[in-house]
Amino acid sequence: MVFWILIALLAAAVTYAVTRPLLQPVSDAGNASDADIAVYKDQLAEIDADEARGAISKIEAGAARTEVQRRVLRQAGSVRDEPAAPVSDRILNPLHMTATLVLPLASLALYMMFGAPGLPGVPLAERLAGNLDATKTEDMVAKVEARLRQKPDDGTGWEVIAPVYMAQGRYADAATAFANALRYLGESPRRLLGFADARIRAADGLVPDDARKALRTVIEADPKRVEPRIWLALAKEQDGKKDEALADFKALLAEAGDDAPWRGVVQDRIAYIENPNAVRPPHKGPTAEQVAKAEAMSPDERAAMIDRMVSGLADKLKTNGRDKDGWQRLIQAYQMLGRKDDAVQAVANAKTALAGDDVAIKQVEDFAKALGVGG
Amino acid sequence: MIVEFGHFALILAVMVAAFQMIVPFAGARRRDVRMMNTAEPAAISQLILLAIAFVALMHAYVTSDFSVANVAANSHSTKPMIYKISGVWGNHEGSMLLWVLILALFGAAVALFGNNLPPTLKATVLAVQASVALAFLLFIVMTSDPFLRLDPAPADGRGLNPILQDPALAFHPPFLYIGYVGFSIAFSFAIAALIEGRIDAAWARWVRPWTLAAWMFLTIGIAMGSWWAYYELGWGGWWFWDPVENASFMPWLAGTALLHSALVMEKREALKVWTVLLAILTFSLSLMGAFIVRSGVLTSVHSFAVDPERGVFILGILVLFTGGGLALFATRAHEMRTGGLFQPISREGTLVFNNLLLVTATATVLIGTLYPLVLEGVTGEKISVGPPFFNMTFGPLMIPLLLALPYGPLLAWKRGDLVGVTQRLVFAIAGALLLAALAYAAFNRGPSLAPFGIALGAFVMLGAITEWALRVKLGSAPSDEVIRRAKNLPRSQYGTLLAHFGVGLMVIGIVGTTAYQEERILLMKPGETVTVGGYDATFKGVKAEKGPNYMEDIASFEITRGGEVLTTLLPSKRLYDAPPQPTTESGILASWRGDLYVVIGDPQGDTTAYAVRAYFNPLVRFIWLGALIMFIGGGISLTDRRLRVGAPVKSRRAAPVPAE
Amino acid sequence: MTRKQKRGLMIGSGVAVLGVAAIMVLFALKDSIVFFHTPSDIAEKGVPAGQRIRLGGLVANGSVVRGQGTTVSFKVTDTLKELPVTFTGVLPDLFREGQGVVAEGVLDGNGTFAADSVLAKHDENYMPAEVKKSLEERGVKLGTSAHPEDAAKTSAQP
Repeated sequence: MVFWILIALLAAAVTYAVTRPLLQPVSDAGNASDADIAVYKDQLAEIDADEARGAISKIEAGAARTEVQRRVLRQAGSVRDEPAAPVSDRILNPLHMTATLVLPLASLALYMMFGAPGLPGVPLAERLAGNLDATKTEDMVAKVEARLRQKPDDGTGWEVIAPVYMAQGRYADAATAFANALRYLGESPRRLLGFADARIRAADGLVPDDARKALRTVIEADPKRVEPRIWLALAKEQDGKKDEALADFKALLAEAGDDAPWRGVVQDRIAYIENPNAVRPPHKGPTAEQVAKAEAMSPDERAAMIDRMVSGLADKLKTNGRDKDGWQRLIQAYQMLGRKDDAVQAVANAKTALAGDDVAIKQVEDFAKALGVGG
Repeated sequence: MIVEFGHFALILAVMVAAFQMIVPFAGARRRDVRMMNTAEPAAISQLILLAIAFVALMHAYVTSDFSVANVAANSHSTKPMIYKISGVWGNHEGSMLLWVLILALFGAAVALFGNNLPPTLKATVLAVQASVALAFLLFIVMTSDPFLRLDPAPADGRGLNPILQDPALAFHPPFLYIGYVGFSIAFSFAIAALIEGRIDAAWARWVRPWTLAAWMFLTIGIAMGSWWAYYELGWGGWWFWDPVENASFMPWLAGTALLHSALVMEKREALKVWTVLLAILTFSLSLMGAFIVRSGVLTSVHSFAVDPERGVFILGILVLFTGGGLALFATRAHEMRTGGLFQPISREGTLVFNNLLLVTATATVLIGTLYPLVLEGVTGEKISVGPPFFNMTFGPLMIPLLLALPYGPLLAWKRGDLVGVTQRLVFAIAGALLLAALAYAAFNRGPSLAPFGIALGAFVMLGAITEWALRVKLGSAPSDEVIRRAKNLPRSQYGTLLAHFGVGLMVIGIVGTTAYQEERILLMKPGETVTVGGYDATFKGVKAEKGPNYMEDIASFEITRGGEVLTTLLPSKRLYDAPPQPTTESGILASWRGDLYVVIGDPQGDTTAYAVRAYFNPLVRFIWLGALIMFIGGGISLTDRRLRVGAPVKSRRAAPVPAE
Repeated sequence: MTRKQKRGLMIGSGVAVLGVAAIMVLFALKDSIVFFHTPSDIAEKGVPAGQRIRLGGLVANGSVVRGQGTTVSFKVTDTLKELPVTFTGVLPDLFREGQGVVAEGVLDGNGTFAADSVLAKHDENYMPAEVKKSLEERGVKLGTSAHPEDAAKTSAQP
């Protein structure tokens, strides 16, 4: 409401200001040539001053003066000023009326077309100060990011946020987050694969060097994994090593069971390498379908996905409670999601589960205190 | 709410511009005072409304309100405050808002300070100005609305291109825009004069201060851009003949010509048709600059936001105003009576010569800039026209211009005495030749033409000093007389002298750095030393540091000269957080003699060696110092007590000309 | 001099200046135009060695070799053909494998391109349309990287 009053006031003030002269009685316009003659008088004065200073000679000054005087005469003698034909009030009053109505109304109409009335501004400080809707992914992300800015070496925070970035299509950010998780939490196949996937997407489907390195590390640890092998074969193809790529794809196909989900992808690539002109290749990489699914999620679904991740962790800790790092991760996740009571409860549960290991309990307590749990 | 209030103010400004275009114009045709009087409040309202819109957008940036699409796309919460503010115009939408704000600022200035203008002329000028504003406002609202919202708001913005996160660049667009847009006033005056059918000496007097203001801001804006490119791009160069640079340089050249031809028109009522044409062309070149920068039809080292569709809209605006202006010119030009007569050897003669060369130079730059575009359109071949083209065409045109420059202010109007003036300039000529000989002896290398270029610059500088000495009768009158004369010399004359002096200084800087630059590219390991320009730079190693929103690898170089330690230079490579993008920061040791300029490249493999580029750029500071002096000269002219805008202008302000 | 002669002189000198300028423009254009080619163009059209050209394409993955002093060699590809390039100097900030690049220089007799300047740009204008097309046909999905903001993502470093 305040907003509408403010814009109404603005429109009214401006309309009044610009249309007011239409109703104000005025004396004669003054002759247009007055202004010209004023200029010429100034010029004459300048010539006098220049002559007095000795900047120009007497003869030059005389000639210049004659020239300017000629202009004055021409101006004075000119009858070029057409007689004024003032518009009568009969026309002016309706004009005033029209302008008074059209200015604010047309502005309002245009504004309704382009504007978003009633949408409040959301300065960052205000969003972080609270009033946040913990079920909104965007807000949760903002909160985690604000935390990570304070504590950039918090590997768990990076690990939590990386898949969310992926789901939002912020691949470069996801790659950075995965890389940080790798740095602070150590290597794991999931993180390495996540990193490689994010880098490939950020590079629009090209397989960059660092992604290749990560994929190779995954294969070294677990030669059975298929996804990294598909990517690496694609990388060879992109390098122009078609024969090698073809061999790799064929090997993959030979191993694939009939129901392997990636069978189709590999067949497409083989067909394309063997005959580039015949088949229009798929534009998306092997795991693109999964991501497409994540992209298609509504914010609610995404929030649900995060909830599932958190409750999965909670369930795991219920069966195996001797995992100090796991507890810390859970406490942090609750705290970041704004589920403060759950965080307090998790601290208590951790103490119970870790009973006997005083060092671990102390660490969990300190960790919770640092996060401000229960505060 | 502040955002939406700003959005409404912007849209209201569209309607006010439409009103200002129609009502005062009709009033001027009917000579109805009441209708004409609406121009003034309309122009001022427009300024206030656009200022509200601009402040609202700035508020959104400062508070990181990512519900505004424009803020989300171009800002980031971790960005330092200064770049949050400059981020407002560091992107397409915001810069167009700044563009119309400055248009409105000039319009309001004419409304407020133009009381000495004939009422019909003033109303018509403001109406034409409003038509330009309306075109750009519609462009903003329809294709580039900075107030579009996002709901829900994203968590954080995507950041400003790090290469633009630099103080010089942050504040160079406003200056450049004041320059570009300032020429719109000259355009509006020209169109208004053609419509009114009266173009005389008084008209030139009213236009000149506006042109001068636009010119001086364009000068400093271009200089700041070049300064930024010099130390931020890390290539050691200061001018690349790049399309975006040319886009600002062409209106500057044409504007410089306009400044000089308007002088002739005011004093002698000659060159009327020509001056009006130049006024139209100068603003057209400004519009074309906007088109080139905004459409991305020409690729550039500077272009950072391109969108073909918007380009088409701006092309439409360009065609409308240039085409319309020229058509009006064609139908009305023959009605103008010819003015004062003069001999070829006269002050008018030299100013015509100046205009001829400046306009030809503008044309060569235009050809070099647009040729690739035309050729690609016609044959599909992709080509680029490199700096050699501009050096070969633009450079030679500047030589006669600079030779003639010191003569201009010393020749009399109507009929000058060439021999007499040459005699008066004998000290300047002798000094210039002496300096050239010294330069030749000092450097003893480089192109054989370089000392000649130094002499040319020195001639222009000494010519300005000679002119001052003659005007105050230095040496021929008693000292109290000299002091009295020096005090009485009008400020506008001091402005001219300074501006010409700045040109000379700039020429020396350009020739010095172009002809005598030293460059070393090598691989350096810690402890190694490179010698360039008389300095020894010892590479001490690289360490990583964390900045406010970037990580950087800082190399340190200990600089010694003759065994004496002078300083430590810290060139670095930065990697910004958002967007993650690397930049190169140069390390520069500045002195009057020249700049030592060091940048580092990538580490080489697994070794501790880095690729290093070290330059010595002799006299390079003179380029920007010259531009600064030109700017100050323009400013001093504008403060001339008699130069209230539109009121008498007393000057022989012949604006400077840069040289290659 | 009569008025007519004076005017003639002025117009004459104006035409003379313009004429000289026009001749300079033509000569300079002849010498300083640089054509833009992709590796395939060069293979097909047979650009003569020694002619100055601009070479555009992607930096081939795994092809960058440093460590020969300040000389760097790499391959530029449009995915159909590759061309080896050597460059002495400091590479631009945005130079990365797999990214668009424009190099200016000359072909030597052995089919190697000696570049004296290298521009790296994450900007679709620096990726020739043919390169883009052939990349897309090969299953490389090109994003909407017309804007450097988008493009900057592609240079992300972990």
